[in-house]
Amino acid sequence: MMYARYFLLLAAPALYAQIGPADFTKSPLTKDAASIEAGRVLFASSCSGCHGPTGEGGRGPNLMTARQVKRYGDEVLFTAIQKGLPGTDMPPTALPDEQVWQLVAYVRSLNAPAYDLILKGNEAKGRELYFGKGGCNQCHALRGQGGSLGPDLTNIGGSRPLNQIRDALLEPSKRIADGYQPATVHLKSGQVITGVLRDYTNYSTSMVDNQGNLYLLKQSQVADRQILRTSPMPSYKDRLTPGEQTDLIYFVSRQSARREEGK
Amino acid sequence: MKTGFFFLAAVCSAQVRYEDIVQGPNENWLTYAGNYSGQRHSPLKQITTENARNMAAQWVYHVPDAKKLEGTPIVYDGVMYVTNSNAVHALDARTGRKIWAYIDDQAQGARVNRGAAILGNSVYVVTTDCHLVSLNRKTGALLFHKKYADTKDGYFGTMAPFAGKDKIIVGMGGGDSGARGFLAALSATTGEELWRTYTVPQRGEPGSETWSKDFPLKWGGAATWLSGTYDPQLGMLYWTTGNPWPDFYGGDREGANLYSDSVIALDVDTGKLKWYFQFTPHDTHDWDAQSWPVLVDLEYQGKARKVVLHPNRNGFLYMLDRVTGEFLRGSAMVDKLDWATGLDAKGKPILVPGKDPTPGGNKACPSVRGAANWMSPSYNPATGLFYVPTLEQCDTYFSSQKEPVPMKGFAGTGGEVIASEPGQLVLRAFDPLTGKRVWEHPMTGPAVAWAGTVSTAGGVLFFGDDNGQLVAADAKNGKHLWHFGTSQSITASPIAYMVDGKQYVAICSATHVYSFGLFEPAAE
Repeated sequence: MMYARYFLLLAAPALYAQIGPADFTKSPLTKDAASIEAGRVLFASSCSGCHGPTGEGGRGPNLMTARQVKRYGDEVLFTAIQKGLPGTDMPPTALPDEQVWQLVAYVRSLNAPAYDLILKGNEAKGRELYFGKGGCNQCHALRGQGGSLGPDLTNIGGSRPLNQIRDALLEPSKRIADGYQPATVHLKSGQVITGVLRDYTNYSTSMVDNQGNLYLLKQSQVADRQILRTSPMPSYKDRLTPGEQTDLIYFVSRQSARREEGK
Repeated sequence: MKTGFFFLAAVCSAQVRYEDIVQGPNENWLTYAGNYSGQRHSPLKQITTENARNMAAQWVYHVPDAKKLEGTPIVYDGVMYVTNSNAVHALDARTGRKIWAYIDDQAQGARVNRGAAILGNSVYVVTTDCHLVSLNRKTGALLFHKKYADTKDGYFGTMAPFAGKDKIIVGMGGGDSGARGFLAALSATTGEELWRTYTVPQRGEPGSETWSKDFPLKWGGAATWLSGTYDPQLGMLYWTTGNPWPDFYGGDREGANLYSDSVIALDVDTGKLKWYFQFTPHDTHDWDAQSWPVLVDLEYQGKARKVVLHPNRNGFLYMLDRVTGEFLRGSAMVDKLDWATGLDAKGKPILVPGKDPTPGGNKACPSVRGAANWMSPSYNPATGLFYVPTLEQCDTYFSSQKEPVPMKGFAGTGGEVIASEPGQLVLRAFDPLTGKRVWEHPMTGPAVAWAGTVSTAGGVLFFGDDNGQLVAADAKNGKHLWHFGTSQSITASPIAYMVDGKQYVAICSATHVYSFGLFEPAAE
């Protein structure tokens, strides 16, 4: 169904239309969609020059994937935005505190796990789509059940932002997740392996096929390695109605390893 | 040495069976200590005392975010599993190339992690906040994620889980802040809890009489933060326990404080306590017993015995009967030992008065780090020698009668290094039948390493030293054969494995995994 990818589109208002009251952070100022939207507008005018219009990086780091940004507490992000980061190109800002908090809310929304959001959607319908019309389980696994060609989705909502999940569903070939490049490898023995490349160099190749078999190959065994540059996953932009997309995204976003603990 | 063809049909297809772990290390390294006996002795003998000087690095893998790797890798079917805080990295054991990585960003906090377990098609690891995670060993897909203890009760996870028969055994950290120790067996397939045994009894249970009547046993400590060993024939798990709490002030907990500072033998199917042996009754020096029990079959005083060998932090080397727990013998491992004059016929320490910590400070030996600790010992059946990293050091110990506050890092104060008496790490080869030091290797360095050993059938003993080097020595006499500097302090223990007919020896430095093998000239 979808390949989790490290890519962020501009968080369009349409995306936030799916979001109800959000609980991105512990800061009371960043718990509502209005703050996030205000932060998005500020970001476009004040931050996008370095961090890119979508926050996925440029001169400055990718705010969606940078692990240190994910780990920063709200206060650290607030201070970094307000005072800048000495020794880097990150300058201080004269924006009032309230607007700095709005920026914190927006940056947090870029990388908050989808599970942390309060979304609109129907989980039961999403599940039906996942296992039925969407056919997602043919390539993706949930708690050990499903295919191995796509990333495991057991903790996808607990680890990926909503934007990434949505993009993966609608534009899967834009960026393919590390370790999931589709390929066909012909061995000198005559055997043909079709699957995804976990790693490849001039000297070795590791692959997983859709049955979950792992192959560790020396280059001396390989006759030919054909790598596909597009995802085998189809776009669901036209395959599902907007309502179905919402339900499927909802179901996938609820997949969290720590769901029992509410995270 | 090299095989010409790599058979695909065999690649990563077979499951790890209980019987495979029982058989012990061969080409694979299947438990934290290599096999159930904990001997850390590999039957591989491609690297010998004759050719070890020709060893060279084969690959290096940088573990992202690593600051202090303390893990022992698991190796199965050409894949190495290395852990870091809330993370597992699966590597091609021939090349060091990453196959997959699992990182749990939702876990609370960051701590060291000492390794994984493997059984069936799963790799198991614990998170800092006490979840057991099961991953598909080939793809890294998450199979289950089960919470087994709560950080609100002072618990945390750093240990390598243990695949005991068909169960995954987990323990806990947090004893130094009072958390009550336990071992729990979880289903290998679902993570459901099957049994739980506490290392501090409840009031009224046997052993509770060894604590002051008004002491809150919920905060007794006796943690279980290291992995254990197992005798498949007896069906017994062997696990060592940590110190009682508060660590350095014992006035509120008069008595022996069972089952702290002990080795406990449990029925693997029920968790029922079969026997225990306490090394340091009423400990006030934080000398927990965290060096795992090494299981050896040998002849002692003309009788075949199944024994446990255990180098203890308190400075003594013990041999117990592992069927009954009977004390067989014990003797000092280090010269710097002044809190007891020896062990009596039952193995109880013969105390020297006046060695407890005091508010003003009181010198005692060994140091708070212990004469031995969790860094791995090993036993070579061919030489009959037991190889133990020891520390010669004394400390000044301080105590406080302040009201103990659990879960806040309060230990009743602690031990301090005596600046004028720097410690020294010494690797020693003991004859376990007599306790005699057959050879020893004093190390230069600042006495900060936590590096262990692995023994091999090639007659080569590998160990980390106090200058960040992996060293190869002749297991018979300690003669230096080879060394490699990592430029970092080593806080882990080496392993040996084989892939495609080539033997490797691997060890973690603070931030990297290194793998070594014999140098092979490039083909023409």
